[in-house]
Amino acid sequence: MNSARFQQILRRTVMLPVLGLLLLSGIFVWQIHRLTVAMYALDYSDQVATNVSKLLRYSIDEETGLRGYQATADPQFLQPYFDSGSKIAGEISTLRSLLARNPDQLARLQRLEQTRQAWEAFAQKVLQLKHSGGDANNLELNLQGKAVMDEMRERANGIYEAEIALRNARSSAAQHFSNVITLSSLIVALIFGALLGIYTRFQLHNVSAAFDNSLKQSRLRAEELDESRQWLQTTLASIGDAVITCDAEGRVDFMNAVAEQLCGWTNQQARHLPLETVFHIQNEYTRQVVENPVTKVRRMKTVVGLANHTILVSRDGTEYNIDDSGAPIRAADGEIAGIVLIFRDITEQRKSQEAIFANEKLALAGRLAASIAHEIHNPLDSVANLLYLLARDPSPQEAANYISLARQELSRVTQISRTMLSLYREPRSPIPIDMKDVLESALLLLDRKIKDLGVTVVTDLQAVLAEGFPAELRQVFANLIGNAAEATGPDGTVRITLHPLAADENPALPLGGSIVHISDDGPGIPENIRTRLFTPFFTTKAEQGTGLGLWISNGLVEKHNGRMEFVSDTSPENHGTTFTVLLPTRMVPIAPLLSPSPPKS
Amino acid sequence: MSNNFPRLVLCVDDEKVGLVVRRILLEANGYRVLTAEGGIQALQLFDEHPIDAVILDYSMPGMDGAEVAAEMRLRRPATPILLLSAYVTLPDEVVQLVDLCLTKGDGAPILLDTLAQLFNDQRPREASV
Repeated sequence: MNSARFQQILRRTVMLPVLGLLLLSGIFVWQIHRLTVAMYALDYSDQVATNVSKLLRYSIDEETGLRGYQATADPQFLQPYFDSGSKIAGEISTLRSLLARNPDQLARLQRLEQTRQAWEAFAQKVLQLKHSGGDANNLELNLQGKAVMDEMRERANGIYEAEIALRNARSSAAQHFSNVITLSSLIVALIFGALLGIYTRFQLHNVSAAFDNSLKQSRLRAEELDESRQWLQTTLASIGDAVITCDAEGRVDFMNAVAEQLCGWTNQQARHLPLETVFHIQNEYTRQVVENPVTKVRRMKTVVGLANHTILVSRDGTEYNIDDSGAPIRAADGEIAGIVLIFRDITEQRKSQEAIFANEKLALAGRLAASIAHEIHNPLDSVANLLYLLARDPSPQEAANYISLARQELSRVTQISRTMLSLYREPRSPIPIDMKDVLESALLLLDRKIKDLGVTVVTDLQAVLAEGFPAELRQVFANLIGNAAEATGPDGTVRITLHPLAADENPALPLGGSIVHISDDGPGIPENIRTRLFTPFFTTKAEQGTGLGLWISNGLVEKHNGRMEFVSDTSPENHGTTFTVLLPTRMVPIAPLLSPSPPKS
Repeated sequence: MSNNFPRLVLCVDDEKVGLVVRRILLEANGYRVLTAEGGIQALQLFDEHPIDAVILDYSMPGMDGAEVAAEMRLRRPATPILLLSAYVTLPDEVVQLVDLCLTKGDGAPILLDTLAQLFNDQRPREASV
């Protein structure tokens, strides 16, 4: 049952009784009107009866007056006679108007008037006889007068009785009508009330069922909600990653067990504290405080990952390498309702990765050893020969030439051994590096290989400063240049360019830095293996390669907050591959200062 | 025997300084020397001159020592070839192609002795062919 239907039922349940009451009161108003009309009719009949009674009394007075004068001849007796005569005329005229709408009674009244005129004619005759001294007491005349008077009284009585009968009939009709209306109203009201009761009961039953139903559903929903909450809590608690959820203001709302362990705070302790208090992160190398991911999410309003090389400092001072991401929790209106932060202890992973890196560095040295031995043996051979020649008493001029040649060759040995050694020596923290030096020393390491392969190297190098670990970058470029030389093969050309990169010139490096292109005109990288190029243990060189070179190079470039990309073309007319390495001027960007005041919402 | 009729040795190496020093050394020890900085030039000289022995570098751009030696064997199989390499170990099939192998940096006396040995071994080799 929806809200509209419920409203409709409510309306009906209220409106039906109101309508019923209105109908009943209409009936009563009508009944009262009818009764009033009946009352008027009764009043009217009463008035007619009264008038007729008065008329009869006045006739008696008139007759008495006449009889008195007849007996005494005293004109005093005539006074009531005259008075009554005019009163009777008044009553008759009143009656005429009263009975105007009743033809039967009007006919009776006319007949009464006729007898009345007959009696008046008799009275005039008696008065005339008395006055003229005639025989006023003539029996026959007086009997005739009495008969007229009797008839008149009878007629008046006839009017009276007819009126009374009419009144009684009206009265009983009104009574009957009133009874019928009262009874029928009562019955209608009872039936209506009963129907209304049944209907209301039915509707209320419906409403109650619907209410019960919705109550049951909401209870069910509450149970489901509780259950899904339990599910989520259990999922979050048992997940292997650390999870912290924050409200929109960046205060901790929930921490799972892994997060508790890594941060050193319990869920209870951390609740409602600002995230930066609980989740304290620094850059691995510079120890600068890193921008809080929650602040970043609120700023960028999107999913963010942490900067590389982030260290989480636990409450007890333990440090963990972590890898994390933050994501906004959006409410239905799209506003940020909270932030969920997921991170993972990658300390072990980092250690094993570093071990593989170190291993590969040694392996690289091993692979280079043969060519380095070669580089050392060549000048050594010349030096040995020159020493032999010097021992055989050359002319001073020849000796000077031999010594100069020997020095030249010895300096070559020194240079090679230094380059070789610098593969191992590494500063503890990033230092400023001239990228040109790095590329040139990588080329020196590969000199023999390049010569053996018969590859031409064309360079266009500008001095550009970067920051980082020089041997690692040398390793990266030795790897890339070596790959390029192998790919292009005999008579091929490898082009190496190094240029400064202005800020905003490349979106991958918004603050600028340096850009290195290493291009070969080899066959290009087949499309189906391009995506696997940076994955470990992937190699196309079978026994000759470990499959770690590009993976490690990419890792080292990322460590320097740089970026490695490549484009490749396998078409017959335009084949070749270009690797691009972007390196920032500063390895570690300055973290934005955290505002000490709580964020305003 | 060689003093009256000096032997002609062809030195092949892409290392310019090494080549110059080797020439001085051999000439000081009574050899006539021709030098080539690459395989193509070496084969050309090999065709044009009556070369008595070849001192061949292994690692060279374009054509390596093994290729040059194989080519020379095709043209004049009897000419002795000494493979002089900066690499300590060389593939067996390369070693089998040449008469003798030496590692660079072993010193001038060993080079001169080895070269002399090459000429001493030449006679039975010629006879066997």
